[in-house]
Amino acid sequence: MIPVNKLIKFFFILTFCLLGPLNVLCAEQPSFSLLGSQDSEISDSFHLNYQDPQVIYGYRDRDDHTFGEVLGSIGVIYGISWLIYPIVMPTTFREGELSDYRTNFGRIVWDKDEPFWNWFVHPISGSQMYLYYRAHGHDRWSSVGLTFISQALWEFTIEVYTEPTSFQDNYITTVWGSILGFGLENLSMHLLNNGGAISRFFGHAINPSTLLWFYEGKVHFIPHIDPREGQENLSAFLIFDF
Amino acid sequence: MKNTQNNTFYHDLLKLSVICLCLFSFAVEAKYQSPTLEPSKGIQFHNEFSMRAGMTSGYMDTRGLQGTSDKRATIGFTTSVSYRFKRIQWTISSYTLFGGISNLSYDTKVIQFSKTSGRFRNVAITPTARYHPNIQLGSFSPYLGAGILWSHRTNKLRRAQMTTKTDLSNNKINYESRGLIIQLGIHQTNQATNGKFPLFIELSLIHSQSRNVSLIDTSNFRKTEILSKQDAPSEIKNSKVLLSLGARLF
Repeated sequence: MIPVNKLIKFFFILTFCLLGPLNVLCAEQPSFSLLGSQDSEISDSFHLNYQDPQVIYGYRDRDDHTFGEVLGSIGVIYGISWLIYPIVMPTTFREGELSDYRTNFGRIVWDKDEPFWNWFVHPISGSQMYLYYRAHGHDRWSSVGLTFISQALWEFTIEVYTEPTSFQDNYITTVWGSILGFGLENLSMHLLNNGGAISRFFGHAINPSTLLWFYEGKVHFIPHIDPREGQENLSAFLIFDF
Repeated sequence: MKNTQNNTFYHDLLKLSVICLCLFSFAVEAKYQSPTLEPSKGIQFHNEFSMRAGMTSGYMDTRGLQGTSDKRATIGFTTSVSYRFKRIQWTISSYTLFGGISNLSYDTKVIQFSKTSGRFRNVAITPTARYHPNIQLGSFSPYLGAGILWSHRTNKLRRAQMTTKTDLSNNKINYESRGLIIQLGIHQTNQATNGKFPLFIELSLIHSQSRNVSLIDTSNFRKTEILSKQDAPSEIKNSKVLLSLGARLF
């Protein structure tokens, strides 16, 4: 009998390993159907003269998120948090009780965890939350704020099942996480936009939100030179992936 | 008895400092938000969040039980997130410091440790109010900050004399402390760097005193166990002078 948590871990690893290479392969061939034209002359010029299409990764900072949209993004992270906790720490989770939840609820302490959790796991999870909100089109400070909300929900309503809310975790996950996220954001954009398949693989690996359907910063950039006499124009098409 | 009196005085001083800081900042803001005053030339950005990170190093003097003391250099990281009005900037900063321990004595109330040696990790989180005067020093402008500090120090001992024999590799001693911080710094203006990573240099003076002590069993990596937790008012006193260098990230 294979334990369920091992199956879920295997599924996550498999998805992660498959998504990277798949996305790299797919990114090389953006769809040209959007360029379709009934005008055969123009259509020919596209086929003859378009330059190598490029996929450009970046971030769009939107300020038109609806309340429902923001709530949905927070809800997804909250749901994943409930799902991940028993998988990552099955023994600790099994030891938790509802009475502990009542006792721990609202208590804030300095936790005594080992540095691995406080200085490695929390900043990394914070950075991925930050990058998740960035991928949703939030600007940097909105992403920091939403990371704090997600982190606070985790600390005050999920982790209290086994231990009181940690004072330093709230700071470390939000601030250190956002600082790390800011670094990973820049590094991943550099890797995704300047390099080959391996570079793009690592770009996605450190910023997995760029692989997901909601990522708003992916742009197909297609330079085009019109060769018709007297009309030597350079133009480009930008196709946003939504 | 003397210790308790000192402790009460110390906490009253902390509360008073917080109230004074709040009143001071509100007064300054009220003055500079006044529409009758002309806008200041020295102010480079207002009503803005900022996230900063940098390295910090300095000198610390730790005083333990039985008159023991340990003076040594320390190194670490500093981060801060802040919101600036016109003159006043509200900040939450953290200082993470690492270093060694020698010859300090600790009393966890279960086991007494003396002639210790090992390593420590110190995390301090401090809400501060900073005042930005209208002074320009080239592309830099100075600021002065003050605030209260909560600190958590983990002592991981390698060698010690103990009243009860215990496995030091599976135990650590935690002290929670409170204190005060004063910051004096200069930061590069946004215009000087075109908004990209303005630098800051900051001198911080920190004094903290312990509140409680815990002996922790770390044999289970996933979940540590608190073997004992006791009040330890002013048992460990710590003073630091730190020099931080870093940049505003965004």
